Amino acid sequence: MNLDINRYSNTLVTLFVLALVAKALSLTMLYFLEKKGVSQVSDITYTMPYQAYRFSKTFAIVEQKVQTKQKTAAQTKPLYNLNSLMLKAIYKSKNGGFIVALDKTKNNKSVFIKLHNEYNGYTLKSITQNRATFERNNQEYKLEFVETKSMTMFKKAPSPKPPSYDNDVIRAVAKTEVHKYTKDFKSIWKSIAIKEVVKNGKITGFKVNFIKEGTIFDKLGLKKDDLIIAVNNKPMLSYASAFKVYGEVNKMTSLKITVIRNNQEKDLEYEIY
Amino acid sequence: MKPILKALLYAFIFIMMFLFFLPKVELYYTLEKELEKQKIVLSDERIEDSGFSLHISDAKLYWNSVFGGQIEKIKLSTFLLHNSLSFENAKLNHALSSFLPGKIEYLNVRYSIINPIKVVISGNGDIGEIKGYINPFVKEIKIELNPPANMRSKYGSLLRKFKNVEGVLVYESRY
Repeated sequence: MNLDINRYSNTLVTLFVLALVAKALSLTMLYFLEKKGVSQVSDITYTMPYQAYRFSKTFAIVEQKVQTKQKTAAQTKPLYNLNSLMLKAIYKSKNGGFIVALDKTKNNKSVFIKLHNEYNGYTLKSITQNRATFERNNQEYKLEFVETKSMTMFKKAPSPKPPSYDNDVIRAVAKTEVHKYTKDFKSIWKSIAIKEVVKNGKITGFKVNFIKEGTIFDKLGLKKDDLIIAVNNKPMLSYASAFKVYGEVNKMTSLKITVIRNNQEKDLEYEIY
Repeated sequence: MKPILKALLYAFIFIMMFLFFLPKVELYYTLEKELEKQKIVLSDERIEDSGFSLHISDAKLYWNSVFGGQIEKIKLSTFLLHNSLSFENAKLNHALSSFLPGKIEYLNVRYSIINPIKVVISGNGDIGEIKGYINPFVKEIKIELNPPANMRSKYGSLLRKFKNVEGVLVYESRY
C-alpha cells in the first residue's frame, strides 16, 4: 500500500515538474514574442472632405417634384414671362443636359433646368450650343445667351473630339456616368490605361498611357501622358490612395484631379450632378 | 522496455503541456508583425486561446491600407505532428469583386507528419473547389481549381493564370 502511494506521488511530482518546465519554457518564449498586435489605424487627423463651390446647394435646382407644386400654383398666379430668365450656361451630353440661367424675378438667383423638365410652366424641349428652346401650350420660346463672357461654368462637350479645356473651367459630370464606371470596374480599363510612376522605390503618381475617344475620361479633359499626382488635394502616392478615391467617388459632389501636363501642374475640376 | 515506454509517455505529456502553455496569442501577434512588413494587416479581430488552438473571429483584412474583406473565423491548431490553419466565411470587399470572387466558404492549410514534404491546401467558395499544396523543400506551389461556370465568364483574367490540364485548371509557381 505504502509502495503504491510512493509510486503515485513520484508520478505526480514528475508530472508537476514537467508542467513547471513546460510553463517556464513558454514564459521564456513569451519574453521574445510581441506583446501587442497590429491594428489598422484610420487617419484620425480630421480632414474636411473636399468640396468645390456647389451650385446645387447654393442655388435652387429645379426638381420635378417642386415643379408639380409650382404648376398648380401657377394656375392662380399671373403668367411667368420667360424674358425674366437670362441664359448663362448650357451643358449638353448624349443622354441629356441642362442649362444655368439667372432668374430676374428671384433677385438674379441662378437656376438649373434639366432637359425635359418644367420651369414655371415652360418645358425645356431642346438645347443647342447657344440656344435653349422651351415649350408652353404647343408654342415654342427660345432663350439665347445675352452675354457670352460669363459662359465659364459649363461648356458643351462636343463629340467626338473633346474640347480643349482651359484652366479654371469646372466641368459637369453626370452621377449616372460615374456610377456606371464604379459598378463595372472592368469598363474603366477599356476606356483608360494608367500605370504607376515609381521614383526611388516610391510611387510619385499615375501616368495616363491611353484614353479611348468619346469615353468619360476623354470628356473629363484627361490626356495621354498626363501624370495624375493628386485627387481632391490628396496625393496619389500609393494604390491604397487611388483605391480610396475609387471607393468614395460615388459620394462625391465635386472632384479635382491634379495632373502634371507638359511639366506644368494643372487642376481639372468637375461638378458631379 | 518499460522504462523506455515510460520515458516516451513522459515526453509526450511534456510536449502536450508545452503546447498547452504555448503563448499562442503572443505568437499570433508576432505573426501579425511579420505580415505587417508585407503590408498585410488583420485588424479589429477577437482572439481566444482555447488550450490547443487559437480562435480568431471577425478579422478585417487590409492590404496596403485598403480594406480587402472580413474573415468570420480563423482557427490555428498546433499539435506538433499535425498543424492546421483554417479560415471560414471570408467575404471580400465588394469593391474588389471585379477582380476576385466575393466569398470563400472555407480554406484549410495543414501540415501533418503523415505527409511531411507538403503543406496541403483545400477550400471551397465562389471561386470553386480548391485543392493544392506547397512544397517548402523545393519552394513549389501547385493549386488545382474546379471553377463553376460563371467564374469562367466573370473572372476570365484571373483564370488565365491557370493552365488547363485534362479539364482541370492548374496553377503552378515557384517562389
